Amino acid sequence: MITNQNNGDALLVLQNVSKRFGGLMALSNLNCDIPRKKIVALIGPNGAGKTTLFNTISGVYRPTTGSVVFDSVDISGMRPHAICKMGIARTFQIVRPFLKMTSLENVMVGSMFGTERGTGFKEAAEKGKELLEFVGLADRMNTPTANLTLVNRKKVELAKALASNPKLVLLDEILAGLNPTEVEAAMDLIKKIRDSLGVTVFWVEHVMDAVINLAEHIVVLNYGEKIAEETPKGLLSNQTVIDAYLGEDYIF
Amino acid sequence: MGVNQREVVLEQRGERDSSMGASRVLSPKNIVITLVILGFLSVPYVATGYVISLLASIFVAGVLAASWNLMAGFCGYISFGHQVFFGVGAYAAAILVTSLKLGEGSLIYSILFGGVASSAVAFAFGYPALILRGPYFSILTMGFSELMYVIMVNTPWFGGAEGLNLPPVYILPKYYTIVFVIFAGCFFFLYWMRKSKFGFALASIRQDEDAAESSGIPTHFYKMLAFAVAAFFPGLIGAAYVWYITYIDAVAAFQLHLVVEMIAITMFGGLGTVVGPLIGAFCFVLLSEFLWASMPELYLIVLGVIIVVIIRFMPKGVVVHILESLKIKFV
Repeated sequence: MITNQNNGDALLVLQNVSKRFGGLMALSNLNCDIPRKKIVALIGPNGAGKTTLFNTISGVYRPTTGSVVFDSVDISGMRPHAICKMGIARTFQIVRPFLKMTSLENVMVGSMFGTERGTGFKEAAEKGKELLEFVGLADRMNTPTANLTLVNRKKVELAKALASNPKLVLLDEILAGLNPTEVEAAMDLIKKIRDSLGVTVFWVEHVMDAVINLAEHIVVLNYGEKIAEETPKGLLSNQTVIDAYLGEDYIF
Repeated sequence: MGVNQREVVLEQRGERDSSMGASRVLSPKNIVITLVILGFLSVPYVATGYVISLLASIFVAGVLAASWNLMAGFCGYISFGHQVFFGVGAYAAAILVTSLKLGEGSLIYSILFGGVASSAVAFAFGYPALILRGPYFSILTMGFSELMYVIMVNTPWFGGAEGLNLPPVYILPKYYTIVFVIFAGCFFFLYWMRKSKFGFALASIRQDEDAAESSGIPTHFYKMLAFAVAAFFPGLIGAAYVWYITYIDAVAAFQLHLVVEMIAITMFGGLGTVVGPLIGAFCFVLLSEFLWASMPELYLIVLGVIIVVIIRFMPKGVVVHILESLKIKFV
């Protein structure tokens, strides 16, 4: 088991993060480092607190206790728009592009408002085209996102997140609902985000094959607690994880 | 890139016609717009008092509807108390003029003062109110309007139930010109806003406020800004109106009828469009004028039925419906 590499170089550091909803401890005393330029997966059974953790990092919720430190700045309690400008972009589990805007306009919003200084229209449009090409959606640039399929909407949302020049991107179940071919393509894309854009990926996923293949570092949550932090190899032999999430029958 | 009518962004930024240079200023569109503006500006010199005041009331209704539409159609926040900003503008101008004993010379300044005061009130009220969403916001605006009414009626400094009187001056031609300028300004502002960064922020907020916030848009700030702008125009109109009728009281300033008319005109024209409420105001005011003249006892009943039928069969609005079926491009 990998212990917290307590080096100052981690991009995101969670220190004793807890989130309480009334009587429910959605996250309890979470400590975790996300190293720079790695693909880190976050897994765990439904209701484990994965999305709550993402919402806490991105500023939708304020942590009840503890702090979220991003790039040596304590961001806990900051508003989501400010956190986005700091360099954390996200996608949603249930995709939420702006349906009446075109793909390009969607991505432009990310660039115009999400970057630290904001960009003008022209720059945003150029950046938008570039990123839509990057995610493989250049031919649907001027289609309203309401007319796109799920996989394409996910691509738009990913491009929008990347348009804000993030250092860290939070992907919430980006593979859910995709067919095997699409999953393959999306996995390549996630790899490309890290390799060619140099963005750290923190990624919630249930598609275990993809997680094992792609992630360099896997964090496992159960009932709001971190029960393991493993390499892909170590994960499959970790009895706690098998009991809580994978099940005895999981064979890779 | 394929030719697509939704390539508006680039078109808007002038990438395409940048080579045309000077001829752009003299494009047919600009010439038509200039002629229309000149035509309207010359009305006070040629038309009868009835026509002037009828057109003025169209402009008033158009600006009020357009500012309601700015919040409801562009930002997605439905206000049932928007008449409050008309009232605040009217009262602000009236208080300024009566307390400083100003004359007709202060017309423009007092009108601007009305607009600014109205914006300031919107900013202060919007700060807490715009945290609420959906029906909660709507109900709160209703309460706010009622609150302002009660404050005005019960505070002697604001004239109490008797209201405030301004110096009796005849300013119909000036009033007409002023409300027309406000009307035109409102139109050009919305036309610009629609494809500005501000407009994009509002469109994002309307479509998904949480996603907008996560994309880096300071939603609360933009909502307050939109609210302040949406209050500015009614504030100007209210201040101009108070000069026109030389008298204001709380009943006239905060009447629910005003917001009902804003909603009716916007629905008549087309929610979330620039031209909808403005053209809608022409149709709506002329229609109600015609009904009032031809069947005064049935006027409101017939008007109500017409609105119900329109919302049932043309929910996008009559103006938008007609423009779409004629395949005319509009904003």
